Amino acid sequence: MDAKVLYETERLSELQSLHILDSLPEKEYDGIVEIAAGICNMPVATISLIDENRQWFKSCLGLELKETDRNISFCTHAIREPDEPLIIPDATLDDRFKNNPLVVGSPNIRFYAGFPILYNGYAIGTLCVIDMKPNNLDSFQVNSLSTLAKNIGHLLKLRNDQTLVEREKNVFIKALNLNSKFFLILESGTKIKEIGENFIKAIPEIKIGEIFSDYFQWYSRFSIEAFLLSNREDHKGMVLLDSKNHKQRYKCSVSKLKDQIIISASPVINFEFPIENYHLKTKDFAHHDSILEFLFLQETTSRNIAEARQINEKITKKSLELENAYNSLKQKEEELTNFNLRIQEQKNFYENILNNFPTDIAVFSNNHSYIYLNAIAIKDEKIRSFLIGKTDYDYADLKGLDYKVADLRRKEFLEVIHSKTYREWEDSYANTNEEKRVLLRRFSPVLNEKGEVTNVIGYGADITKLKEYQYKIEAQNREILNINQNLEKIVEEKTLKNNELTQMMANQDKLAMIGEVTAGITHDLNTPLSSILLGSENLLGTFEEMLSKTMQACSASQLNYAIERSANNDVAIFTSGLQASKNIASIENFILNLNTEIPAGKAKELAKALNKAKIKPEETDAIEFILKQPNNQDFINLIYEVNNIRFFLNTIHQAAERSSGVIKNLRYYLKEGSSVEKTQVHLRNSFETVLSIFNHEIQKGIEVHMKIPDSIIVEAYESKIYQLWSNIIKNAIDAMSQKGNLYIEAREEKKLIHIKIANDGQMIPEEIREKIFDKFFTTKDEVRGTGLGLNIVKQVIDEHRGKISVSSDEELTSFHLVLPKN
Amino acid sequence: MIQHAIICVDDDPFITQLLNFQMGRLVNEETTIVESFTDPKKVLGAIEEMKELGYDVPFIIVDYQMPDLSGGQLIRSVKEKYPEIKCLMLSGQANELVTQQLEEEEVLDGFISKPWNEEELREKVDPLLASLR
Repeated sequence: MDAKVLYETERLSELQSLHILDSLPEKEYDGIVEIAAGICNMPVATISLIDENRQWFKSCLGLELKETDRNISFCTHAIREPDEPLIIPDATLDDRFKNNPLVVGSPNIRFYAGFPILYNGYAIGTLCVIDMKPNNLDSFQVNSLSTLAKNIGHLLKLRNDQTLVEREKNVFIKALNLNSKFFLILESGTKIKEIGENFIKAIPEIKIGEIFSDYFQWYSRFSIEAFLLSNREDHKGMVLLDSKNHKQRYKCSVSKLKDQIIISASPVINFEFPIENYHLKTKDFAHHDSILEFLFLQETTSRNIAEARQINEKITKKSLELENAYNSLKQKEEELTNFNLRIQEQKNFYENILNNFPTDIAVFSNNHSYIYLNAIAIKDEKIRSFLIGKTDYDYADLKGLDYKVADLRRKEFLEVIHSKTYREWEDSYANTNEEKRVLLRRFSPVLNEKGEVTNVIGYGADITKLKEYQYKIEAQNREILNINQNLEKIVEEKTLKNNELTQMMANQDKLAMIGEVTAGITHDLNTPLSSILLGSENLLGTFEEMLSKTMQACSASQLNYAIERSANNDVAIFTSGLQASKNIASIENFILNLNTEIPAGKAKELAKALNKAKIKPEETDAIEFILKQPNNQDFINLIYEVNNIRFFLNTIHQAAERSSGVIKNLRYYLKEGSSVEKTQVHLRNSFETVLSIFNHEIQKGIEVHMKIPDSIIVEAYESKIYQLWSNIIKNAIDAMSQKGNLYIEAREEKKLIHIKIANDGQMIPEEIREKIFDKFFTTKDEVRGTGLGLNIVKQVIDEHRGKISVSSDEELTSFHLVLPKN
Repeated sequence: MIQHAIICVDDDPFITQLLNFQMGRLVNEETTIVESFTDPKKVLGAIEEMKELGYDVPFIIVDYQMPDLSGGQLIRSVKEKYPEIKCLMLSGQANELVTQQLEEEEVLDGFISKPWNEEELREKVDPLLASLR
């Protein structure tokens, strides 16, 4: 049965630290076992150490066993009480042991007494005595065995210390051998205690226990003695030792460790033997300092010595620490192994990546030989490993290729080495399937911290597809360029058409304007037409009456009289209404007072006729002359009719002239714009023409104030100028809603003409003032406004290289125009 | 014995004279005189003067398109003061809106469009003159 032991882990660790398990028999322990068996007079005694799963006998008397399972061990139970012995008088009566194979079977144990052996406070095993029959111990026997068990503890400690010292020495020698295999350890100043491996090789006759100076030149003793006498605080220094028989000088670092001197040497190369100075200086050897001056080199901080000293100090102070250092070294070694494993893993990982990277990758040394190639670069693994350390020339040789590619790459490579920057070029070749491939090659330098090129990384990306795309894009670009050129042509044509359209719109605007003023023009034509119509109708009637009736009764001289009289008459045909009644009454009175035979009834009739014939009451001579005529009634009619005929002709003539004026203005206005060249335009007349077009609108209640000097002439497209004025004036008329004042003023200033067209109508709101010259901008409804008017104004102004601005407030809206005279 | 005065108004003196001439041949000169004016602003004063002299003003003929005062405005003010006076209008513009408006206001009694001939004038004027006989 396993029995749990308190602090088992610590206990096992203490046991293992002794390094005693499975060691050879030692007489000290065998002696103790014999004494124990003797004292108790028992056949069996053992020193039993309890390992993790077994009990191991350091010494065993009376049993042919080296170890047993821990399960069946009695001692396991004994160590559970470290301070008390476990005594079993008869195992067959003890529940813990009666079924134990050691009891039931051979060696048939009956009596057992175990005394725990303590080491550093832990029971690591027991001293036990065993009998094959039931037995017991007296108090003397118990005390004696307890003391023996204690002594075993002391003995183990002593044994361990000795082991440590031995091991310390071994470690030290090992360390020295590691650092410098030329070393000596001297005892009592001169006697050789240990010899480094290389010294044995270099000086085979050297022996442990001999005097070291037997092997070296005579002055070597002084060197060491001088060192010993110097009592240097750091216990170390530097001496030169010359081998006696082997013509070799050693540069040695020496250090003191207790009563030992450790000389760690390294051979001096190119040494001329011996140095004369040594002889010169030997007589001063009695003086320590001068010897030191000579022999001790101050720069002694070689890393090896520092490390050796460190190790030495550690050994001197704490040998356990050294072991820890060993352990940690081991651990580090393990870590290093792990680290190396990881590095290998990473290397594999990256190589795997690089091998699967769809790009040729190669790493070159700085002499252009391959260090690494990925699987894409060279698929064949054999060739790949062949190429490591070789060049492209080797590859060309292998494949039987010419040196063209190799030459090119060498040239680029040297360029990279020289410039220390990357180089790129395109390789184009046909692959094994006769497909054309294009590769983008690139060499990039890898620089060390001094800025020297240590490696060059080369890669090649397959850009065949990219190239194809590039060609495609270039072709497409050419196509797009063609399309663009065509487009430009189309745009040009469109622009031309647009200009035509603009011209058409301008004409349309003119027509729209005509439409708007048609009513006015109709009126302007209607009035004279009415006159002509009425005049001609009456003229015909009167003329016929005169020819067929009146002229029959009158003479040619009477006709002459009537014609002369009508020539002096003013416009009015006759006086009508109340004035006429008064005139008639006055003439009648005059006739009645005349000495004639005219009866009163007749006088009234004659007076009426005279009035009609536009003969005024004060023309008494004329009345008297007319009345004296025998055909006076007809004569008066003749005068009346001739008056009327002249009046009607006048009316018709003037009406015709007015009609012709209207038509003339309209014709001016409608003149085709683009085909006409610039002419000298009389500014005031041009305004008057346009105003006449709007006469009808203006008559409704607009007062025109025009101040334009007669002298102003502008070189311009006449019809466009009409369009210009009519659009501005039309806008003004609309703004005034048929009532208001229109001001048109102009003045010359050097080569410019300033024109102001203003009205006191509705102001233009500030927010739309900037837009009024835009095409299709209108505030009017769809029927009345085309939105072209002021845009055409702007166009015309631009065409004449002029300027237009507008200002508007509640009192006045003004368009200011500046036109160059020519 | 003069009893009636007919008034013609047009800013164009030729038209007034022609109108006067034509009307002179249509009216009974024994009982009716024809007065014509080129300035519409004088018309109301003239009517008042006629009335003071004891003349009846049966109708007036007014041009529509005139500066300062339009025919429409004139007949409105005439009708306001003398609702019994009939008003005829002369106009070159067959402006239906204006005539409709005036007819709706019941101030317009007839319309003569320019240019007219004597026959057309007679058609419009005769019914009015007939009532005078």
